[in-house]
Amino acid sequence: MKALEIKNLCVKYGNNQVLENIDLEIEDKHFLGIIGPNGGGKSTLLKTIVGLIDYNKGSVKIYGKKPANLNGILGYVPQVSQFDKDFPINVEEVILSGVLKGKLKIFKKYTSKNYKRAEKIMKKLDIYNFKKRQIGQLSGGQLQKVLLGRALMTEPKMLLLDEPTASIDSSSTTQIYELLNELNKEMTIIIVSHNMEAVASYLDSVACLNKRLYHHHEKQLDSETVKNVYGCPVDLVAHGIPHRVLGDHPEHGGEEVDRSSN
Amino acid sequence: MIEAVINYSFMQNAVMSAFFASIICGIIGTIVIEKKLVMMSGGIAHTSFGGIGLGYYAGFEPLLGALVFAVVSAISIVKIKNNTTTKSDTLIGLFWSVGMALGILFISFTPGYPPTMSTYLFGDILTTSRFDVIFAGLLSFFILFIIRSYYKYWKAYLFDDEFLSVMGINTQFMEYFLFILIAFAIVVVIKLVGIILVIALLTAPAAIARIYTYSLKKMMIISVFLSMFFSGTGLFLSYNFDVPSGATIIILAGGSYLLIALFKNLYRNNFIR
Repeated sequence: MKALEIKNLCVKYGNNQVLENIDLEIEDKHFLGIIGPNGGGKSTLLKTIVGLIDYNKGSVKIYGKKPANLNGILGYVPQVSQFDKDFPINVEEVILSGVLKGKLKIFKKYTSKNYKRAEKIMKKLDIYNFKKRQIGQLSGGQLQKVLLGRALMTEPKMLLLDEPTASIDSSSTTQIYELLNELNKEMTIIIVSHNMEAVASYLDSVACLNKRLYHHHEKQLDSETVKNVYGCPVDLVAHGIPHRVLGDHPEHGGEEVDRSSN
Repeated sequence: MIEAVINYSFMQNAVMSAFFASIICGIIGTIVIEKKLVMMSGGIAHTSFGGIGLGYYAGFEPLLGALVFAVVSAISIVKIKNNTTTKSDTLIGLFWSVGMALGILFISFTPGYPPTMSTYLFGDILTTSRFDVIFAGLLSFFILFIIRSYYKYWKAYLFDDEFLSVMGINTQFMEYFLFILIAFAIVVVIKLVGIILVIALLTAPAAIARIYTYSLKKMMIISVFLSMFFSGTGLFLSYNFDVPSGATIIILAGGSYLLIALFKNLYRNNFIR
């Protein structure tokens, strides 16, 4: 069974077509990076996969199931920037809330097993020392790890991260990617970013998204692909492996990119 | 005042409804502040004026009309917001003034002398009836029970409802349920401080509590006691000096918040220097 199977997916906001005929298939324990310009539909695609946004056409299946009835197969790590950092909740409470799922249970209590798992995760993420801290007193990188920790509480089969490195410094970025690389042994990972430089060497494949999606089963991107997606040349940094040039998009979809929107 | 409480049933009603309303205000006020539903609550409160007008016009208990209007407007705002691209801000504004307008229209249709609306607009705790007290009591116990028994979910919902939704929890149901609770709470508080002043009693105690704690539970508890203090003191002043109770309570609550926030700010600035 495929970890993720998207067929002919279309998403509209009113009259605005955000995603158009998206096809994407990935195997279990795959590490996919999705890049694309701002407004290209990256977050929308992620939110459609996790079931937060309804789609107009096509189908989405995660391990054979529809987004609406997943019950904890997915670990979703939203963008740090959308949070109210003043909210009265501490690190441990956020992480523990990751076990809440499915039907509401009256007088729900976290079990000692939950606490142990939370402790293990916090230690692994190097945030155990701040466990009683209110989230507003953390750095961007620490808060990112807290959100990652919450997603890991349910032992998800697939982890989805929305711009995990948008608001943090480069050393935390490296640290988070190393963690993801380790987690990748146990689970499928999809990350969305407008900056794929640091992660490139860990990825199994890269997809470019700007309304349409181009999925390359190669690690490296060539400037032509990126130009097609972004509508302009972009500097590329390839890590580890010498730079390699991919073939054209099979659809030759480059011309259809709406350059006026960039 | 103690003598009056022992001797007069209207004073007993006033004290008891202040007590129950404080429990409601502390809990719901904290939620309203943390979920940023302050304008929403204002909208619900003002829309309920339409129901009060209808009650007078059609000859049933005006607060019952207020309750129906409050609940219907809360549900409609969520429903329209979720199904269209209209901003909830715009919707709340519309409900706000259309509700008020309906109220005024109904009252003008009411035959005979126009009733005095100031009780509903500005509240009058000294006129609360036994029925009001029982209603406030039942609601405060219900809210306490619902929030306590599903506390973990409520906290997670207030912090990040999208994540809960991804985890397969019916957050839409939680949203509707919460908005109906807020609508009920507002109607109970209207009797105390009135439609126009209700927002301050909902938000001021929770806003003060927020300055002192980083725990949601403590915030609720502190807010409840602060509400009790403000409404108790307001009642005392209103009884002894014959000043309007609603306005007194609100000036106490709002004034305390301003003073505390100001003091806190000064202290913090000096501390850093």
